[in-house]
Amino acid sequence: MMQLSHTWLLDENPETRFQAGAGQTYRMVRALLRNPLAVVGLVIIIGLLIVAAFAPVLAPYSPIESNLGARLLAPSADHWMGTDELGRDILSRIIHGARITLMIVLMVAVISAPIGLLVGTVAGYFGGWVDRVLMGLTDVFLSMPKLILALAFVAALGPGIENAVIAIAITAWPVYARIARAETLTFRNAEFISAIQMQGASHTRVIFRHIMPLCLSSTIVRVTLDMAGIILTAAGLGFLGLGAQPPLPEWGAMISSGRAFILDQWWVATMPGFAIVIVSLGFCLFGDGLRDVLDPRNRTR
Amino acid sequence: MIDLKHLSIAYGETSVVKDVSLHVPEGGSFALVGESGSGKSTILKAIAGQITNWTGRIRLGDHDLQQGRDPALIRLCQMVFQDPFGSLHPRKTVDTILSEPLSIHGLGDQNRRVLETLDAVGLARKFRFRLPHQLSGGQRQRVAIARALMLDPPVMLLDEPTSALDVSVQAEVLNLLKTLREQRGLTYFLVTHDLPVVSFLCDNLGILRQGELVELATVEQLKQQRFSSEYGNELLSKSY
Repeated sequence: MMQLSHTWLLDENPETRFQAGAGQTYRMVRALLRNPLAVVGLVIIIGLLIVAAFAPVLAPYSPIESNLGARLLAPSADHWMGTDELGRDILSRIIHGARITLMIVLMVAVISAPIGLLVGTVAGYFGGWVDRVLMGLTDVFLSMPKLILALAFVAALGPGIENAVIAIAITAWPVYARIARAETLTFRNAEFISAIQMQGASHTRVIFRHIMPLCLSSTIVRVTLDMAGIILTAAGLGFLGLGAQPPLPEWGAMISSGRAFILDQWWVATMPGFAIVIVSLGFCLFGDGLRDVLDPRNRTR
Repeated sequence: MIDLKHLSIAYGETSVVKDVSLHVPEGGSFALVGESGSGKSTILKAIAGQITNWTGRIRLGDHDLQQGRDPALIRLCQMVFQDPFGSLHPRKTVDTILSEPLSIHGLGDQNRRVLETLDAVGLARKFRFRLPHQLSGGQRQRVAIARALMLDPPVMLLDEPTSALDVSVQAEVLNLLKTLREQRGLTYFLVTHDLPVVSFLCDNLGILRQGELVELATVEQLKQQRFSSEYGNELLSKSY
């Protein structure tokens, strides 16, 4: 009988595709867990996920309801992170804000990474005029400052989280396209691509089954590293009042509203700032660890 | 089985292959030898459909090849590449590499076919789920040969199949190629600069110099070191 044991997973001569796949995953996870910084990043990300999932349970107060009698209280046993100008508990708002941050990050990643990957691999694989047209388009987007372009889109589409997500996604994909194209160029004339073409594989098959998997790891790493930037851009849009709208507890918007009291009531702007820094750091560290693991030559170690 | 008539290939203004005609009978084994830059690999690529701007006629079996990627070509011939480190996808297991051609052509019974071909090329079944970087050069070249065999093509194009391997492994791979030809009645078209490989594996050879076919000879002539052309003898004196 098949059992999920250490030796079964690490068997050098797996008997089934399933065992081979499970063994590879196990080795990768093990390699990742050996990197202390990556573990720190992973813990932060898992923490963010847990906080986002159980926000209503974890938050001691409502994130929206105001209590003008308890305005701008300093951090204390009752309000660990103090309260803001409307008497709302900042800790509760940060906990609920984790949901918004996570949603923005995931939506942007889900929209922009596949677009970038597709554009980049298609351009690199076909070359010629396809490459010139697609890369020209990419360069146009790449040459504009991210936040300014996002600002322009939000201004055109109207403020709100969904539009902020779309705007950030539109500014994020060109980097992935560039990376994927560069990577594709290094092996588009490789013999393993010629070999699969000789076996009658269609262009679609070659791109999706043979080229994309090779570009995937660098894209995943880049996305994880970019997540910090995405959070910051989202916070920036929130800060400028073009992201999440009040009373939604978005971290950037919270910093923005705390700006007025930054000298006397420092905690209002600082606490969400900490949240942004910690989560960004978590994604950065995890992305770095992931890059080391996803290199296939490291797998056997 | 392979019939080239007045084949000429030019890259822009430079003509690389000039008016080459040759014939390889079914089940035969033909080697194209020459120094690097003589155009031998270019001819192979033209047959393999990787070069599109040739003139003349290439005939495989009773099929006249079209320029470019001819769909009929796939079932007629497959190729074994020179470098076993570059010809296998670095992220795919042996199993995936071998079953890919079956999935492309919708052939069933993949499990059995993959195992059969592994046995045929003398690769232990335990290597089935390894990634290429976990295999040695000789094992990789066996995988590459197995991949070429998956679609049961009558013709195999061999691009210096042993030149990237250790001497000890070369012999194994050459023996394997010889056995496979005898068992399956394959037609080989080999490109090499290694004359001992030719005398071991082939019946006939063509000597190419700067894109021109200087001589067509039998392997007996090679073994007795008696070529009729001056350049052929020059090549011989260089190799031994």
